[in-house]
Amino acid sequence: MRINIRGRSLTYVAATIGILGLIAGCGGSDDQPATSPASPAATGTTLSAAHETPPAHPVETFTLAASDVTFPAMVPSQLPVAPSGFMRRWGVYETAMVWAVDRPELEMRLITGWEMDSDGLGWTLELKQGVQFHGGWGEMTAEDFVWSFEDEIRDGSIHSGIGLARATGAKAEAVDIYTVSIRLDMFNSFFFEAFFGNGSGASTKVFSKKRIETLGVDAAFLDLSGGTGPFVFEKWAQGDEVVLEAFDQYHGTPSRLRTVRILEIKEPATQIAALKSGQVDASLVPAPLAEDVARDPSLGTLAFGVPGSQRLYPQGQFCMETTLAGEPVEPYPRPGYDPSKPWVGECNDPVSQENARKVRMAMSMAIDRQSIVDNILGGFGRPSYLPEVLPPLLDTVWQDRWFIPYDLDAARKLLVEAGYPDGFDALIRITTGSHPLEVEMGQAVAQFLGALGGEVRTEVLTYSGNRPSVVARERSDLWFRSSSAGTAEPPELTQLRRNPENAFNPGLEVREPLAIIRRMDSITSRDEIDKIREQLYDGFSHNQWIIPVVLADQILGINTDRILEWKMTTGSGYLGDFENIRFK
Amino acid sequence: MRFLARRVIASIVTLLVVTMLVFGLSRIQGDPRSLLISEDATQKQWDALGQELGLDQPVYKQYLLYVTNLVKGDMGDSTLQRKPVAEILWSRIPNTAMLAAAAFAFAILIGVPLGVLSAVKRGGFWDHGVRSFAVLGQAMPVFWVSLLLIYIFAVGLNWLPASRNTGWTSLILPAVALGWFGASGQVRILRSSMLDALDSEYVRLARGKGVSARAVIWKHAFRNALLGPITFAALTLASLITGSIVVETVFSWPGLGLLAVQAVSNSDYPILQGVILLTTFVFVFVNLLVDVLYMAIDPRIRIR
Repeated sequence: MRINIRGRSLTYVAATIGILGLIAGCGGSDDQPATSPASPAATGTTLSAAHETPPAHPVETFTLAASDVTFPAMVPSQLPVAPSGFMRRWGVYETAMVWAVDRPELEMRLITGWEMDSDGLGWTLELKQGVQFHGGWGEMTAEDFVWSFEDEIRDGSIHSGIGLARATGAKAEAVDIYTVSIRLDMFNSFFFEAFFGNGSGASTKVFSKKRIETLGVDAAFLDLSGGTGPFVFEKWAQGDEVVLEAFDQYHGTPSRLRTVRILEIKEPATQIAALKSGQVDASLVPAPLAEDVARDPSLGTLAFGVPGSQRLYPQGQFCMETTLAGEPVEPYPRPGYDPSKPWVGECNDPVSQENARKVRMAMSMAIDRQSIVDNILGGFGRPSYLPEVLPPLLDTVWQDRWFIPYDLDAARKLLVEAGYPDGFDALIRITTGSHPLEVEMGQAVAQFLGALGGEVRTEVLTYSGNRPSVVARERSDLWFRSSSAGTAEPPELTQLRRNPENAFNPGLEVREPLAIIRRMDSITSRDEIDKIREQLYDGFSHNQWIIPVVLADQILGINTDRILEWKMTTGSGYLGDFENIRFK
Repeated sequence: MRFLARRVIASIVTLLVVTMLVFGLSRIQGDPRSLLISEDATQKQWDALGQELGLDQPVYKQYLLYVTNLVKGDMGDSTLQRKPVAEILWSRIPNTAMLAAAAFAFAILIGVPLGVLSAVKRGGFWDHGVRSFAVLGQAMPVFWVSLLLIYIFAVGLNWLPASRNTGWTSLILPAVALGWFGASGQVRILRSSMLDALDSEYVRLARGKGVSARAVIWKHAFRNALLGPITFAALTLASLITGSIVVETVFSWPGLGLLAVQAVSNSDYPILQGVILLTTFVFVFVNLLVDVLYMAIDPRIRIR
């Protein structure tokens, strides 16, 4: 069946940004689900469709196996990127709004309503009354909200949202005890969802100000109290076990669970053994073991979260002499700009650029994506056609339009047209640390590209080992990059970070996509945004600035003898929403 | 005394070289900042965090500071947990010690009787059986033995827990997996030295004098065959303490070995350095102790 792209696109437009509120000129309320953001990324992963209001704590304990659980660092500005993700999902800390489980929109959580200022540069948030902090730190007030926001963006913060907050000049102010005002210097269509939703690393998790002031930053860093969510940290034995207990004074619907135990089990085979022997109720499952788990009559598997994106960066496309704001790029040309690389070409020569585009398209057409999904990911994934641009969950829906066939003959023909009839030599750097099968996938891509002629070598190194040369814009080779899980963050936001002013850039400083995204900031019509997005996606598809490979599912193995239902939002790649688990 | 002094100096040099290696290798492994902040962090954020973690200093300065602090007993703080490394190490030592002790007990309680049995029943069914046990124990990779044990006893039979420290029953599988190699070594060494002892003149004399078979084996042969196995046992104990990384990882046993692996995953340099330094210290110390024991036992070493 052909999908109506425009219809889906409109849904997505409404979903990923808070623009709907701007257009409608109104905020949310308790009676009506808040605005906008009908994000596709909020589509829930549900084990069963049944739903009912849960009684408080009828089930005592749920046990989950996990690996590499990083210490949470209980201060907003010092929260590392990984725990920032699971903290949003484990129900210890909360954000103003959260993605709904069963419908694509944000729901109120710590607020009861919000309103956008008439100039579109600010929001007034009405905080929910009676929200108690864990550990007896009192009721949440506007001061706590403002303090948490300000601490996230203070000097020295490692919080993911600091760049966006600084760029927009965001400031927060407590209007009264339950009212917060947020103002920006410039409009930004991504700000609302990024900071007030729970799908982004930038989201503001509200901590108790009194707790930090009383304990001091160093002690607060280690202290486990102070959140507002349905679960309290009862124990944190780093590298061994985390125990969450239901919070009896929780302001929302109480959890069905009394206790959640998260056991750190490093070795995937042991995780599966723990699942099979009944030691744990659920565990992440690496793709090669998923079939084995599914064969067990008492176990089941399900894909959850946003799939991780595996893509190839043809580095060296450094063609911006000035930033979008017109400032000169320093240094220019970039050290990694090498026009002799077939996928780069001469920046100021349209013919050379067209040939480079054909080379990138040929590379893309030479990759048998389905084979990687079938043979490396064991079927748990799907081909990808627009990485980093289109939200992963829509990639499937829209793939008809931007589908790239595996067609070696057509790829070779493109290479002949581009002046490389015998192919070309290339080096693929494969970085590790994000997906257990990234090396295998990267090597498969190298083999596919090798079929075009020429020698394609691979070099495996850690992500952090690769990063300095990426920051320095020194690379002009190919970079195979993996993610174990995606995020629900608006993808345009990721692309905006690729502008020349930013630290990190995977070899893509090209004006066209950035300029297209920037145009979104100055329009007020959903239809116009929709058109702009389609232009952006068309641009990425036609130019293959980034070569998409596959989207790899995250797989969860569960004990189906015990678990009846687990409704999980896909707001991020982390497991969570324990309060939504129903047991047999 | 000169021998002892030489050994002490050699031990200190060994430790110093190890600090250099550990420090160097941990830097090659990766930058901890990539795990702490988003990849889209600004350069300013990246640099500021580097300053906070001391990564902005030249590497030699970082090393000198590290060694100086070590001498003062300060192993630094964990990058992720911000707790003193020593405190974290102390919290894991009991688990590793418990596992090492259980594995050692398995190695001795199984290895010694089987070694004696094999020698006494030379060439027979029991000898072949025990030698097969020893060859398997030394040939099979420990991670594979561990997974095999888990799948048989935890998943298949559901007799024992698959992983983690959940009580004394959870100690059995990792102890067997870790101790099998040591037991096999004991069997082979003891069998060999027992065979030498059983063929010796004094044993033949004892037999000729009508001493009972039991007394010949345990009083005359076994006691004289013990020197080699005791040395091996001491080194086995040290290697059990220091070499449990694989077993602890497979069984998620919360000891020093697993801590080291987790530190590598998290690029938590201070913890990694602390674990390796501690285990090196244990190994060097046990070796030194064995040397001293040799000196006490064998006067020729003292004279040399």
